[in-house]
Amino acid sequence: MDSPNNDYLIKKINYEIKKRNIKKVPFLEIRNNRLQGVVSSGSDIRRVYVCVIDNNNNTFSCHTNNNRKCGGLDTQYVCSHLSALISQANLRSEEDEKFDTLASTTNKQGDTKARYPEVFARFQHYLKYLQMEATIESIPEMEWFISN
Amino acid sequence: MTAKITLKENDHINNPMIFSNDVKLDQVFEIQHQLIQVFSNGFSKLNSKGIETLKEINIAFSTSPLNTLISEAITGLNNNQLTSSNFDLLAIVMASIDGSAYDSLFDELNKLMENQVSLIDNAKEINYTSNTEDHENFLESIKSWLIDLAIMGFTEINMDVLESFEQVMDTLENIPELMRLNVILRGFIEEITTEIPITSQDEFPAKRWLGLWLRSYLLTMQLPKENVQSIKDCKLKIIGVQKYSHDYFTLYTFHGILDHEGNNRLIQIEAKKFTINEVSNNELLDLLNSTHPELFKGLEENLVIQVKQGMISGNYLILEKFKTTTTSFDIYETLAVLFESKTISYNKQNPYNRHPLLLKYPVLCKIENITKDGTSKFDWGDIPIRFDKVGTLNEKWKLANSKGIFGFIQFDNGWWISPVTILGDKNQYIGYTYSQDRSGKNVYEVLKERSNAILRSKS
Repeated sequence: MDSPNNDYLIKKINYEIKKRNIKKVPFLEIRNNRLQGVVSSGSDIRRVYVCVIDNNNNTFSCHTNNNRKCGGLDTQYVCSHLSALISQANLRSEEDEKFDTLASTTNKQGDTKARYPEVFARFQHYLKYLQMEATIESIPEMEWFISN
Repeated sequence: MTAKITLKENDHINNPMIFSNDVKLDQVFEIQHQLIQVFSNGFSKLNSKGIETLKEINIAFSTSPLNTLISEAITGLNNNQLTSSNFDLLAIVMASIDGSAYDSLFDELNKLMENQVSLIDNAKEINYTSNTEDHENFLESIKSWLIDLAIMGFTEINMDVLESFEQVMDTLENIPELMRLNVILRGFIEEITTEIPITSQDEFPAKRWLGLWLRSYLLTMQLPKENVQSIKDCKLKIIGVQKYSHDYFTLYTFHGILDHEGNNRLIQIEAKKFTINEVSNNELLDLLNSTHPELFKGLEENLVIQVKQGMISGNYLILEKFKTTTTSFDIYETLAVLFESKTISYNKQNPYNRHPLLLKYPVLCKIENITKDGTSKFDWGDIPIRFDKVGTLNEKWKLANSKGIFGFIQFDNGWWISPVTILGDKNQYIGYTYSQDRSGKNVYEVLKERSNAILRSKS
């Protein structure tokens, strides 16, 4: 019978993610065959760019958190924010083939029907975890998540 | 219509062996193995083999006081009556199977180890006050989603199924009383996210997912609470620390010897934090060190902690008033005396938490019994010490000058030893590894700043 914990987690533990530039790209993930993330504005701390490279429909997009299309985005070429997302994703590509595949922008077209609200919501959700406080209640279930 | 079942009404937890006594451990594992297939394929596609599995469960529980109810539930599930009450009973049955496996393994191990520790079983000391009653309707919605996963089968889970649940998770995250459920569900969901789409049954950890599904499901039921005992004026010696984490939560479990009313109890204290996986280990330790300075000082400097006031529930100690003294102690010497005199006591898990994976039997492996290939020799056999569980660290070389290892014998498809502390003149805590490289950016602070700016601004 297979092991419910050890074999699966050892692989995960040994997978060392290279640290990305968190200031430049505070959020990055692969979800549903999309490379998506958030890239900081260089000039305003309250502004971020929500970038999506979608392999499902071969499109890319970049919008601010205020729902404005990135001025640097062309229908044929990626903007500096998408470039930053790709370069940070590539830091992981050695370990993760999915990133490598998705980070390729060849044959993709700019798309105004972006998924930025969903991605931005995920980013906000991700940040929320930094604000959440644990209670004193013990959590035996964490034994399922062995770590190094 | 089947009556609504709760853990309390069934009182299964006081009688973990509710199924027939003549069912053997290998039969338990076989039933578990077959259940994995049922949950992987989904109850909506219950085939003849799946129906046979459920019938076997029924037979296994034939002399149980719950036999009639279980029989009804199994018949219902076989007839496509995939109701909450039928799944409640199935969950209770599965938890009971896990609990029985845990108890059987623990008893076997304790005999092999010649009762080296005094096991305390609090199964009879449970009361049924619950702090989740106020959230009954909300918990039903979580349960309903978990049932949907079981009906469709793990292999059919897709991103739409997960995303449809995010709103519920958002609400769950705002209910501190349900933190346990939040933490396990978030870990479970993130694991599923990384594995889907599943194209073959060999591609995903089905047994693990069934375990996580069941643990989550049980937490949606009215959970009994273990009695809490107040303690005063005790001495605590921290002897090691283990780390558990998933992408959004990290827990450090400090192990300690509590000298309480003349008894030496092995207890654990938790230091935990919601986090994200980009926050480095160093940063996390710094953050936890700032909130639990006495614990870390006690660990690093091997100083006795004076506990003026605290609470114990099972193996868990919650510190209320305490301070580090200037009295130091030697972990190896302390443990050697306690293990040799067999005067160390240790609680078994709460009955409803019992699962072979959570079986932990404290052990002191002296260096003369540890072979070069990393196994510890006992009279009854050689047990591998799983250094690979501690990540990229290769700790074996540190053994050469040590006196031994403190750890836990655990079960995961066989016995193994989880090392906690390599004991020597300078102890090495395996779950506690500050990196020497302190040059990295402070991810936590950067994201916190970003979080403050963005979450407070209108998007």
